[in-house]
Amino acid sequence: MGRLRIAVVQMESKLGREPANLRRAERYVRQAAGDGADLVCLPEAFLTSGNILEVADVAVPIPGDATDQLCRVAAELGVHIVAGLLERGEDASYYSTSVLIDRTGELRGTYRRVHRHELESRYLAGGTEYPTFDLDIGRVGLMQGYDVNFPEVSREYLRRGVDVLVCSALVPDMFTYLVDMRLPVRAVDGECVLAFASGVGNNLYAGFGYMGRSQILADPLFLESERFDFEDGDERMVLLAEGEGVGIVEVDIDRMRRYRDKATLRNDSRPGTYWRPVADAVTATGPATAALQT
Amino acid sequence: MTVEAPLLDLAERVPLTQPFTDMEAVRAYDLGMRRSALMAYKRPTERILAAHHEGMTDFVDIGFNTGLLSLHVSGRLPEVAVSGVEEHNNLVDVAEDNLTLCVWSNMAGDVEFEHSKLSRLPFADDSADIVYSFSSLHRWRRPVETLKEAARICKPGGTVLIEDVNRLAEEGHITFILQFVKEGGEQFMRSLKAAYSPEQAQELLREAGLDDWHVVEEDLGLVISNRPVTPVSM
Repeated sequence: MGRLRIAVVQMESKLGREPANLRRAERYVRQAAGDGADLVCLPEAFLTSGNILEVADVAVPIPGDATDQLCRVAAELGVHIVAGLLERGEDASYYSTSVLIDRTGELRGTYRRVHRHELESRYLAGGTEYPTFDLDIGRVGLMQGYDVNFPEVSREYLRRGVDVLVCSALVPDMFTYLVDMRLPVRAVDGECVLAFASGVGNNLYAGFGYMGRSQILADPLFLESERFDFEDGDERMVLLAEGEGVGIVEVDIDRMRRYRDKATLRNDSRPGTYWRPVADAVTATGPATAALQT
Repeated sequence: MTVEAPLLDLAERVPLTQPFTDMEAVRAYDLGMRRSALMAYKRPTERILAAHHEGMTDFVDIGFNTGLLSLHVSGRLPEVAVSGVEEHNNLVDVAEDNLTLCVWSNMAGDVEFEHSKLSRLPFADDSADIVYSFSSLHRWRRPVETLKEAARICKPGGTVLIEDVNRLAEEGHITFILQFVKEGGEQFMRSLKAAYSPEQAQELLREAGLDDWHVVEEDLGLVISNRPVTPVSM
């Protein structure tokens, strides 16, 4: 444990060019490893881009050729890798999934994105679990871009004690402002480091771009306690702009854990009062009690 | 007193300053090549295909211009991953447009085009079976470093093929081309003036520590390779 170097890869994945996307991702992983990264985070759907209209054609099995190649690279370079893929599930459903491969080259597990927006729901099934992975660098949780809109995700990972939350993302650029606003809040919600690895480029089918702005953030309350010269905004320890590239930062997980042991927000929370059934609550799908049962 | 201006004035190399800064000019260049000069890509293609053999997996194109050569090669060898690098953004954008159309029309080839400094290529040591370049050397910003990079990324037993125009080619070859390029004549001459002579190419190789590489003149062209090259006349 102790000091950990996290890298976020910001890259453009191009429609219909999966082998080239994989090669480029591999090169960025090598670049990050060359700069001393322990954990390298790739964007959501990095192999195919957000090609959900053709998901039946482009989704890949996990494990499969793509993850096999990532496993080889992880083992060769001795880095942990998180990457987003469109997954063809064994249940004949499709998922937007993040995989975690450890530095021995073992595929440790997956996170199937829980939240899907309306259009996506016609093509993708949703996951139901918030898995964590205990690595030599700390406890890692996985989420994806659209999950940023739901504070419950980072709270679930707070409950599970994650040190690093990796969000592989591919977010349309019309949501840049909103997502950018929510990311520091999610780091506070999770009392952790949040690595946001975000895709760039254009969706040629639909005529919009992807937001980029990959960043690595830490709970600003932690950073404030660590750095006498902390100023608001410093919680973005790494921030990439629009182009492709790799951002790396070193964090001390032990110090963050010590901070969390005494963090008042966690100690002051009252879980028993949250998400209890409310008879007249307003939800999109009906009474909150019904929503809670699903 | 009369001053006799030399017809082509090619004795001294004149480096290009800020080439390809005008996007419309780049598109016009690309269209010009596609409409009337595809023949230019035939000879380098044949040379690359001749160097290819079973089991090769990776080619690298240094300075891909608008991508036409790599698209042509990749269509012939769809099992080979072709990675092109180019340092002028406008060229990258036009090459990407060409590639997008190829992907949309289901070309089987596996090509990627990337923006990169040519003096520091984003590829591992010994990773490419064939490293090639066509009509790009004359605008490399740091040619000695790029030659070293070509040697670094080429697999042991692999082939490097760098083709460009020869500034000191026979005048007949130059005027022959000028007949055909018409409105692109000025641009062609600027490129030719920026090109290296065979002796200068040898000097670049010496500076790069690649004294055992070869420089061959071929009609209008100059071919640099880590292997012996047989010149082919059109």
